[in-house]
Amino acid sequence: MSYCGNENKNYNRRAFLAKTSLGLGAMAMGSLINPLIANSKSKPINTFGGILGNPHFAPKAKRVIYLFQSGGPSQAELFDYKPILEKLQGTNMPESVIAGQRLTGMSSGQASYRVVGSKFKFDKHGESGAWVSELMPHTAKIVDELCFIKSMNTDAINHDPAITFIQTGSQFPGRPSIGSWLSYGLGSDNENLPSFVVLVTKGKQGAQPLYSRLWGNGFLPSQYQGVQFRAGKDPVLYLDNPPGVSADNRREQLDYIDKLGRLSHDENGDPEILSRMNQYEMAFRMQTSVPEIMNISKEPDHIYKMYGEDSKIPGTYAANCLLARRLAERDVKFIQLYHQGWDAHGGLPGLMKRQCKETDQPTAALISDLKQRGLLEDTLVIWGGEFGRTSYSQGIITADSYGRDHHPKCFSIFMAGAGIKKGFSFGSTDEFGYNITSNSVHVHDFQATLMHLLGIDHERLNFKYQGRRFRLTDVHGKVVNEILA
Amino acid sequence: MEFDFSAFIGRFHPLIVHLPIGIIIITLIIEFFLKSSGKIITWLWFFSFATALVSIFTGWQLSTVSFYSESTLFWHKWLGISICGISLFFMLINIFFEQKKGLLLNIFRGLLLVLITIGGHLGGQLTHGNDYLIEKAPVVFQKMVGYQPPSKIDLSSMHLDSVVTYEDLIFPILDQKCVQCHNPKSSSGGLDISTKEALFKGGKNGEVIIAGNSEESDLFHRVSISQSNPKFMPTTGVPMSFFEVELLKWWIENGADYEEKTSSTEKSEEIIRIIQKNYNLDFSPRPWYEKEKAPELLDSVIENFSKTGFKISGSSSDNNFIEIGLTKTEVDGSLGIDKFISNVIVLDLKNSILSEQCFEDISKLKNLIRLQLQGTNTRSENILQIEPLPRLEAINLFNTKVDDEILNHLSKFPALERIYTWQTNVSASGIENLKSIRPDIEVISGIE
Repeated sequence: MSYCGNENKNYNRRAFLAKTSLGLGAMAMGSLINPLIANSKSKPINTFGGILGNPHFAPKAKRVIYLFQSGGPSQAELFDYKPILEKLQGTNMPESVIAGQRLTGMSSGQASYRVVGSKFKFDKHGESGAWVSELMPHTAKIVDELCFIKSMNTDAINHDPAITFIQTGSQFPGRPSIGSWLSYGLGSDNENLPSFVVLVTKGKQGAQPLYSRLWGNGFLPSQYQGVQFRAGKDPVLYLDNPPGVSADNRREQLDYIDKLGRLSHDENGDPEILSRMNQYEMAFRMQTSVPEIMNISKEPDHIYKMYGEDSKIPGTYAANCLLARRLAERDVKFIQLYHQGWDAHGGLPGLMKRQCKETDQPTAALISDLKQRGLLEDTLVIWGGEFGRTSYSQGIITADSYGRDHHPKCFSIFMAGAGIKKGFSFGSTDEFGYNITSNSVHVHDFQATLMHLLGIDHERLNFKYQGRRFRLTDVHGKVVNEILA
Repeated sequence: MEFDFSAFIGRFHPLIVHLPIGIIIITLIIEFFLKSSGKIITWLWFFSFATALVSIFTGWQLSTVSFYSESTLFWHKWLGISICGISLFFMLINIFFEQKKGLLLNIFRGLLLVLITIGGHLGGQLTHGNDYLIEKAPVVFQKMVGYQPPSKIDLSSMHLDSVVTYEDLIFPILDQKCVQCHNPKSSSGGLDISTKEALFKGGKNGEVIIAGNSEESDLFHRVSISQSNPKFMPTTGVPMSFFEVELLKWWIENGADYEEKTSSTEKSEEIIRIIQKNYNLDFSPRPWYEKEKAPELLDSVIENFSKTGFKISGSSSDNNFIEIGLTKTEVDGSLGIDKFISNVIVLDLKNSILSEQCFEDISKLKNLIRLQLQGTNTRSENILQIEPLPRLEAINLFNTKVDDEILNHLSKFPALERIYTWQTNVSASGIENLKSIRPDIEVISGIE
């Protein structure tokens, strides 16, 4: 039985009580319930291994770059082309399409739900003939590398529960984020960098805030939480030595803290002490590795050109995409970007134009850049938000503006890279782009598939907390085999 | 259905045949132990003879409508007739002679018992199959007669590419279910199934396999019709299982080729499942490294190796394949991977300075799928030094000094699918040239 990465010899109070009160019977039971840990038939080969030792099966992807588009990008203006919406613009949504469905408080009081079509033109692109709107000209050029899922759906209808759901598998806060689960399960491929790094676009904090708990470790040991790299002179807060403290001093100090920590741990056996000591050491190594990563001044001009002019400005989505590539090159396992501002309740055309201008070119550049460096071989790239948007307009439709409300029943995402079919589109929605008609991919299915690509059986990576074994996909999730290459 | 007298009366043979057996035995016991004689014995021999005669008649009728192993049938028939004859002989002795003792007569009595035992056993074999008795006998006894219980065929040790459909999948079924009667010695219906040539020739009604048409093929027809049909095969013993019939059908439908490799025949998911189930051969379209296993690795070997500046990660829980990366930036001398050359499927040496010897080591990695040399000091000579790796799918040479020379050499790598050559001296014309030799290889030389 084990409660964290440093298993067996370490007991905290809870572990101690659980073991002593039930004794050997409980241990025997434990090995029945969790063969993963107790039955160590498969000996771990991994040298910086996570709890799994080895993956459950041959992994296709070694790392993930998750380009999270926070706020709910509108599928109707980007990838899920529905010409009927333009044809029927201004008419009421048919009852048969929307009847009985939950709406948010923002549009449930509307007298009518008028159909609104995309203001932006769609075209077929690439050999695969994928529909992409004129908002994403750069993405349109690389569609043959992408796998679109147009039948994503979620349980939540508001931002916070929906983001929490897609990031942690639960609408309630407190569970570990995907990246934390992966670091916990698979460990790290680079001992000088955290295996879970978060990059948030600067200056996009609007009505919908992002919380650091979205990349939190939940009940997993704290060394598995995501580490945010900020733009500016201090990428990781409090990482640098304070003025007057030399590296040697800091090393000496850490050695003493280490000794104290070990004494303390020998006395009371709290595994969180080891966790903290690991973090101190990681921070020390990061004092040299992080500045090296964040220094993008040596990138050649053609790379800046490729990612767009924004990429020279630290903290932009473009600069973060460039950083994501640099982190991927250094084998960071889970790199998560957040780009806010997709919440188009009103003034949608202007908002979409702005958002796409900020993200389209860097996203496409990142994928192309990974490809030409051979990194797409074993890197999985995901683009997507927490839910979709309605086919009816929130508020009135004017000559050049309209809005769309939150819509959990369907939304589009795309993936590219390791283990994923290229130039492929999966799932479909009805003529109004409102309900799924085939191959539904629920958030838990998406998470199960993501883990599968990294070699993890989502049902077999779990953690016992407060008497229950938790996992990312809760008690759900089915791997979407159809999109696997 | 038309009434068939022979079939009807013939089926009484197994019933009636036990009458003479019982009567003969009881007569012998009475004669031998009770030393009794007289009219009653004469009558008993008469009943033995009479019921044996009826048995012969019904047996003969049955043989005309059924398909039994001809050699067994031959001996069964003549033993039965002999028994009938000897019964008649004893009846006549009892009627016409006073003297009923004597060595010669006792020899005849013993002979009769032996004949009944053998003839009865042959009859049992005809109805129940040859292994009926022995398959439930104690193991010691089975070993004595050299009987090996039919075990599930396990071909998992075979290389998938060398499995021949007929020889390895179809013939074992025919061997088990048909060859007993259809062999050169007793080719029932003129059909011999024991060799390809004989099977191809067919039986007395011509070919039994029509390539591509299972319905028209007698071989398939006879094993797939209703079991109550007298033409159903095999007439005795265990019929073919559903899966065996399906395999046979699949083989015939796909041209009934005797030499074709299973790997090159089209297989439905169902057929793949059946082959997996019956032969433990996995033809599912999964990559080889999910089906094969590498030699086991010792923890100490891994640990010592990782201390020399490498990181190792297992590919999955049980196949022992590993991916190797570097934690140092320079490899001087050998990679030191001799102890696990067949375990390595991914070798990532990116951004490091490599010695000449590394490339010699790489040549030994016959299971390597991906080789990452980007950002290393690799030159064309180094690549030319690597012997074609049979399983290499991708090689990353981004940001190295290689040039067009390597392309011709890499075209000899049979499984190669992707070459990364951005920021190298590889030219567009070189890539064009490679495309003409190996259109299946994609060269990624940078976007725009």
